[in-house]
This record gives sequence, structure tokens and C-alpha cells, in this order.
Amino acid sequence: MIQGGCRCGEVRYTLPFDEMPRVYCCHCLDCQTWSASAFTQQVIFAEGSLVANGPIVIFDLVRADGAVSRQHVCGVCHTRIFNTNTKRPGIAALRAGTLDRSNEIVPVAHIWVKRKQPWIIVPEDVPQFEENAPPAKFASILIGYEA
Amino acid sequence: VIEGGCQCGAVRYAFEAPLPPAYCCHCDECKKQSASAFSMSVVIDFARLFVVGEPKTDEGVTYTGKPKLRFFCGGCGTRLWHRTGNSEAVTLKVGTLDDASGISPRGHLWVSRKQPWIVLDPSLPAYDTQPVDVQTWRAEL
Repeated sequence: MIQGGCRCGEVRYTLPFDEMPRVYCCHCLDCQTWSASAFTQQVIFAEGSLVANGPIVIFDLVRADGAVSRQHVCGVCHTRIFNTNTKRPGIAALRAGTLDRSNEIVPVAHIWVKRKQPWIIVPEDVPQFEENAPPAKFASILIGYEA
Repeated sequence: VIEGGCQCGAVRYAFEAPLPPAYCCHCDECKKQSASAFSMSVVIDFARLFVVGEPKTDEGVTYTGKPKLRFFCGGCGTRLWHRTGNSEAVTLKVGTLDDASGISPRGHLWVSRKQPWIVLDPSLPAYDTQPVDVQTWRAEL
């Protein structure tokens, strides 16, 4: 099991991974605002597989295309734990900086690098995409092999 | 004029250029709060900020035990700026700027907790933890 939690410790969670999961970075402008930093770090998982304790609250944001991005956030310190989107039922994206072992993260892909801050250097052997990655290609990167 | 704000638009701010120098903090608390790899901030006198909307606050303590107020949007939870003690300066969170495309940090804190793939400019100051007087360090970047 992999464990994580929010900044203040009120929300703790487990995910059924044996090892550190595969993380990608998104450098889009929304992700810069959400993180209040330079990019987000995310792990795709099946929504029901995360088991959390603590006061998780929901912030919904209606996107330009009508889809609703639902942020699952600690109600005390407002750390973002994971998000879902009505366009992708059943699939959730963990905010990977909340993992207890987040200092070990080495991302396997970077998307929206056209918005990337210029000082951040993506290693040459790591796939990067100007905007979103093609879904099948992205899935194979996140799984770790060609499906 | 430089502008920024939260995700939902309930809090907006503006200030006259120039943008102060930025720094990154790679500590575990900043990773959790950003839910990402590090926090990134600029130090700015609060009097320079023109704020529309009313951020909420929560209270905490800094690494050295000083009281800290954290300002965030109550509508969407976006982190906006932090204030230590009764300082006139705040640490404004870079990701909330409307345009951070040209920004480059001038220093890094807590690189002992940095994710290994992040390459730092070797000419920049980088601390395993942080300087004893971090407030002066930030202000003089």
C-alpha cells in the first residue's frame, strides 16, 4: 500500500499500489494556479480504490466545454488530494505531491509543455507533449508498456 | 500592471511591475500544500497589492516557530499568499499569476528533499534546509 495525506494531517489516504506509482506533470495554466506553483503532478487511478479518512470537501469547477472538474480537498488546510471529471467517469487523478514519498518522484511524462516555465528542464528520455498527449500513447506511458 | 488570482475568480489581485525575484521551496510541507513538487513564491510588500475579493485565512507556524497566516480563496481553495508574524511583506504564490511564463527562480530552499529529476542552475544559491534568517534571505534575492 502507498500512503499519503494533506499538509495539516487531517486527511490521510491509502492507495493499493505495491510500489511508487507512475507520475506525470501537467504544465497548463490551470494546473499552475491549482498548485499555486509551476505545474501539477498526477497519478491516474480507479476512483473507488482510494481509501481516505478525514474531512474531504468538494470544489466543483465548470469548464468551458461544460464538463465539471471536481476537486477533492482537505476541508482544513485545502490541500488538493485528487480530482475527477464528468468527462471521465470512474477515473481519478491523484495530486501526487501529497504522497508521503513524494521526494522520490521521477515523472514519466510531461504534458502542456508549451506553457512550461523555461527553467524547468525535462530530461531528454522522458516523453513530453506540447498540449495533451494522444490518449492511447498516454495510456501506454502511464501503464509502462505498449498496450 | 501585473495581475493574478485564484482558480474560480472570486479573488483577484494586481500590482505595479516589476515582479520581485522568485524562489522555490522543496520541503515536504510545501510538496503537500502544492500537491506537487515544490512551492514557488515572490516576496512583496502587502501594501503594493490591490486585492479584489476577500481571501480566507488559516493559521500555522513556520519552521522556526513564528506564527504564519495563510491566505486562500474560500470558493476554490487556491493558495494565494502567506504572511509571517506582523511582517509587511507576504510570500505571493507564483502559480496564481496570470502570466508566469518568463519567471525563473533565484534560489532554492530544502533541496535535501528535492525530487531527483529537477535540475538546478548551479550558479544559484541552494540550501539543504534553509538559512537561519530566511525572511532576510528571501527579501534580498
